Amino acid sequence: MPPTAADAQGGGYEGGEFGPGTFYTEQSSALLIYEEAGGRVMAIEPGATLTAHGEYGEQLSFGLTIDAVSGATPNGAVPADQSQTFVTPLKIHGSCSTVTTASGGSQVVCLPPTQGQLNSAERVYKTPPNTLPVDKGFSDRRVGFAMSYAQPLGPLSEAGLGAGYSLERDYQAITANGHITQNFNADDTTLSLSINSEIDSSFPYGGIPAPFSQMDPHFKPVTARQKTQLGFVVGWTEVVTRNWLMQLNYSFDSQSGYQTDPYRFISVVDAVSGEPLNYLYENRPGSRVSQSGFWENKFDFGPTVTDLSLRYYKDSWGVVSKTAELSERINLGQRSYIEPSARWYEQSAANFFRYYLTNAQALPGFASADTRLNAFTSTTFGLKYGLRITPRTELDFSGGYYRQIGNGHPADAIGQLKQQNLFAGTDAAFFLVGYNWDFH
Amino acid sequence: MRLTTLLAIAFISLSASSSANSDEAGTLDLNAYAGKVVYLDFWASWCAPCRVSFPWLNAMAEALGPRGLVVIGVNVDHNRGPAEEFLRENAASFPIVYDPEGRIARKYGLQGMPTSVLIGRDGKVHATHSGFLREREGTYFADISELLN
Amino acid sequence: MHRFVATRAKTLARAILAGALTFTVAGCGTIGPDPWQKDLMAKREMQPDPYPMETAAAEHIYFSKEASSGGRGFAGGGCGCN
Repeated sequence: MPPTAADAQGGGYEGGEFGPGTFYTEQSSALLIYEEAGGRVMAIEPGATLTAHGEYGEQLSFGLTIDAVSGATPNGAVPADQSQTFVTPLKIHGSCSTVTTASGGSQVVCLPPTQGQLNSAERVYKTPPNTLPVDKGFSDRRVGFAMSYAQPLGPLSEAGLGAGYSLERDYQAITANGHITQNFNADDTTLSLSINSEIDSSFPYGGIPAPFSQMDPHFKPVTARQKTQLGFVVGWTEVVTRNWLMQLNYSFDSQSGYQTDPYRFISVVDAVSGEPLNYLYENRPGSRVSQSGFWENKFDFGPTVTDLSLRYYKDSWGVVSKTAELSERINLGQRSYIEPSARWYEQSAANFFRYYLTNAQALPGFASADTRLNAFTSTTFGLKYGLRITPRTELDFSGGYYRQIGNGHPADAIGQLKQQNLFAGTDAAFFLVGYNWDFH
Repeated sequence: MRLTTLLAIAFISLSASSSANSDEAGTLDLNAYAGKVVYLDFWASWCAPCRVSFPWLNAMAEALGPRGLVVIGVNVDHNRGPAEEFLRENAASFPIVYDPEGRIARKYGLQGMPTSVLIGRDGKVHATHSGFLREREGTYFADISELLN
Repeated sequence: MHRFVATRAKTLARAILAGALTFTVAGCGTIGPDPWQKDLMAKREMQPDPYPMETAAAEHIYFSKEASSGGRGFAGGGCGCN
């Protein structure tokens, strides 16, 4: 009977046997608090993952994320020099008899009964003059769950599968992914391929509006629409020198199906005065193909580690974006570090983005006033403080500020719109607490 | 510039003799162990499986030492400090040789960390194991026993 | 962008050639650091994604306010132990 390590020291793992090639469990959690300027969106997002590692490099992982979001979000309409009124569907139990006040400064108004109508009330809210129209009644909760397993497989260094599910009040996503990686060159070179797919279901409150139909407080007959996504990522990771790690990835993605925001309007304004005449539900194409190239470099200079990454993105909606991120981790003694970071981002507008439509033009095939699809630049500045409480537990605090800079005064603005700020993007502050813990 | 440096190192390592006269850092004199089975274990402070392997190496040295096994730990850390800290946390009951520039490692053609090189009584390399897996302790023990007989 | 990529490709090709020539002379077989020189790659902060929860939270913020998403990878690096 050969002597074992257990005989030598009484059995079990002790001390610092954590890391690649050993058997241990890793717990990782984070809490994100996010708040936009001007009373816009606020979100709290706790999340946690648990990963069991094996000697051979096997990994079994479970993750859970919860999101609570509330606040005001732009509804897509442009500001006007007069007060504007917006309506959204509202379901109430029983019949509606009196007008009452609902949350976020809106009103519950009864609808006169008509044949085939599915709801008896509507939510009405007003926007003051010269103010960006926002819907204050925005609130949502999301739960997401993911699991994955990976291990060496035959000649492959690693093969893995993963699945995820996420559900919120008006949206559901089911994801599946698989990957293979192969190491060469005494593990200095790694090639990887991952394939990912997703099926999403949108079931908005009030139903799916017909494209470019008028703002309408009635529940729509179509209740849900789907979207499917399929993509792959090819990656090359290289340990170039003892202190330089490099990664180069190419991603391809294709989405088909319903990609419109079912709550968002686009204003139709008078071609001369710029006064709003009508609000239509937006319409986006049913197909979106995108590609991106990502290059990341990490340099370990001893007391500092520098991380620099660049991304170039392009899609069939006409969006082209460039991203650059830089962070510098500076060790303060053995146990703690600070890490300032900066991110610069620039995107062009989608080819169907419009600030508004006019009554003098024919309706385009697709149009959206969603600021996410507008041209803008964003900058983020962050600072992180990390504390290694024990060799296998770490507590991190990060904070940052995100700024969006866009054109609120397009050259071709007409009438009263010349005096309005048409850019609906906003700044946000975020705070993140992270906790990592390795154990057996 | 990089190519010349690499060629210079290659020449030095190729021409280095396997039997140096003293146990300075970067040299390994196996003449002292002629006729014994030598288990060379290449380890580093940053290698997690190395921590797992040390209790087993101690057990091997204690149990099979009388039968002619010599365990030698070759440390490849760049700096002595982290290696000594590792040894404070994981005591070794076998001799340690320091190889900060990796000359011994290069001579034995390491492909991963940790690596164990099993040298028979005839002074020849009989097996090289890349990695240390608790599951394979029995196999490692069997390989050593075979050479001891 | 194209000129930048072409210069990088040339530098990389030169490094690969230097490494390959050394391989034939010394018989070591690695382009890049040897297995015993991976001390810095063993550190957590030198992994491709050392704090995945924090990366996911940040990416979520950007994804909810911008039109592009994704691009990052996940594999490789490390000390090559076991």
